[in-house]
Amino acid sequence: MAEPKPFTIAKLFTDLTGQNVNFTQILKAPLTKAAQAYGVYLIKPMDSIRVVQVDLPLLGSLGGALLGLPSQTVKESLAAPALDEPLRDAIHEVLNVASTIVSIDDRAVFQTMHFGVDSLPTGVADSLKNPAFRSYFTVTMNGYEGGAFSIFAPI
Amino acid sequence: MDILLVDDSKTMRMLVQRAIRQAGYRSLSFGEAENGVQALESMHQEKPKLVLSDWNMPEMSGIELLQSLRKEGNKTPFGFITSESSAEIRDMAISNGASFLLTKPFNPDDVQAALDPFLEGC
Repeated sequence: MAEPKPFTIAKLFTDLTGQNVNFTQILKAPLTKAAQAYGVYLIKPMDSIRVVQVDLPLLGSLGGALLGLPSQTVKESLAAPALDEPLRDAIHEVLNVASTIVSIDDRAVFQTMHFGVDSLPTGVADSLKNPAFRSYFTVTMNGYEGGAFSIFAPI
Repeated sequence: MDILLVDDSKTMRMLVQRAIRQAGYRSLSFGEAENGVQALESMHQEKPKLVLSDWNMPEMSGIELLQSLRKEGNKTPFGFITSESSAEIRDMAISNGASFLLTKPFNPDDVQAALDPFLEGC
C-alpha cells in the first residue's frame, strides 16, 4: 500500500484551514494523553476499512480553524461537557476531507466519526492493536494546539 | 435563488458561500439543502442558475440527485464540490451530465474558474 507523504497531508490541511499545518512522520506510536477521536473509512472497491486516529485537541484545532475560531475558543469548546454543534460539524468535515489522503491508491469514503476508542464499531478497536499497516505523525499548527495523527489499516 | 448548495455539512455550505463571495460574486442568493432529497424538493419549487453538490450524503447522494434531475428533464447546470477525486468518479460525474467537479479543499480562484462560465454577468 502506498503511504501518504507528510508533505501531501500537510498541504491538504493547510489549504483546508488557511493555517500553516506541518506533519512529521515518526516510526513509533506517539505518546499522548489527549482524548482520542477516530474517523472510519471504507476503501473501495475491496470494501476494507481504514481508520484515522487523532488527538482531539488537534482535530478541534483543525475544525476550529475551518470555522475561523480562535485557539482559546476551541479549547473551551472541547472542555465543555458536550461539543457544540458547529465545531462538531467542522470536525466531521475535516475527517471527510481527510479521505483524500487516507488511501493513495484506492477510493476512501468517510463513514463515521467516533470519540473514544470504546465508541468504535465492534472489531475495529481490537484490530487497531495489530494493524496490517500504520503511519504515525506528529502535527504542529500555527497558532493552535497540535498533536498526534495516525492512519491504520486493520487486518 | 441563484445557487442551490447541497451538502450535509453546514460548515462546508458556509465555506462554499464564503469562497463564492470572495471570488467576486457578492450579490448572489443561495438556497441550501442537506441531501439530495431536500435538494430535489427545492428544485421542484425554484429554478437556480446552478446546483453545487457534495457527492457522499445520507438519504440521497449527489450523483443520485444529478441522475434524478436529468431523468426529470431538468437541465440546470450542476457541479460537484467533493473530497472524491478519482478519475473514475470524475468520469461518472461528467457522463451523467455534471459540468465540473471541484475537489475539496478549494480556494476562491478554483471556485471562480469553475463558476464563471455559468454566472456571467452576475
